Amino acid sequence: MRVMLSFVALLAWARPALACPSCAAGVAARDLVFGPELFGNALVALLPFALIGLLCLHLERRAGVTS
Amino acid sequence: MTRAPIVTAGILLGTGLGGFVDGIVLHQILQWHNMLSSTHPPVDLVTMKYNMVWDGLFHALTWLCTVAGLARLWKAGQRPDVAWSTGTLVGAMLAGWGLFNSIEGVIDHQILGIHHVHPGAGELAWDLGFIASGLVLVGAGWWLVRRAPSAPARG
Repeated sequence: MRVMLSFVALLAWARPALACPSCAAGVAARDLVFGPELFGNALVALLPFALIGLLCLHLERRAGVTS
Repeated sequence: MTRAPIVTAGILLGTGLGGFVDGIVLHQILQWHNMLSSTHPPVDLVTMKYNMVWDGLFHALTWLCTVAGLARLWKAGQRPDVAWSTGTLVGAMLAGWGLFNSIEGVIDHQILGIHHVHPGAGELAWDLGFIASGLVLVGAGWWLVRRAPSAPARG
């Protein structure tokens, strides 16, 4: 959850740079990105990587390896 | 001796590089799908740009995963108790690629349906083939890791 919120916060911070200001389609697409689907899409994008990362953590803990 | 650091580094590298194969070949070169092409088909400039942003964010995550794998591999190299073998690293990378295909295939294509491998005729066959390719890669990778030496050969 913290990772997802950080991801969304980073995206929000980068928002002003996300569209060419003279391009209406780019602005419209950016507004779509920051619409109601933002958190759901962020979760979907992160989920496979998060699951695999958790697997790696589990493998290392099971082997008694500390990072 | 332990191989776990090599295995986790390989899994992370394989996940990232496998994600790049998906993104570069299927999203960009062949243009079969984008991250959200089933929920927002890229039929006009706005939806194309919308999908491009999320494809870019997906690539950012695969890049970070690759960097994380390199970092783990570097740390593994600094440990005297890590058993190095090509089979372990390559096998783990194949498994990582396979895990990405399988997990992403099930979550994004089947459960959420945000995109499919090759939309249209034979869509389900392509999706199931993608998941199957992931399982084959995981199996091949696991086999390679299992048969690789768990300790360096002593001369």
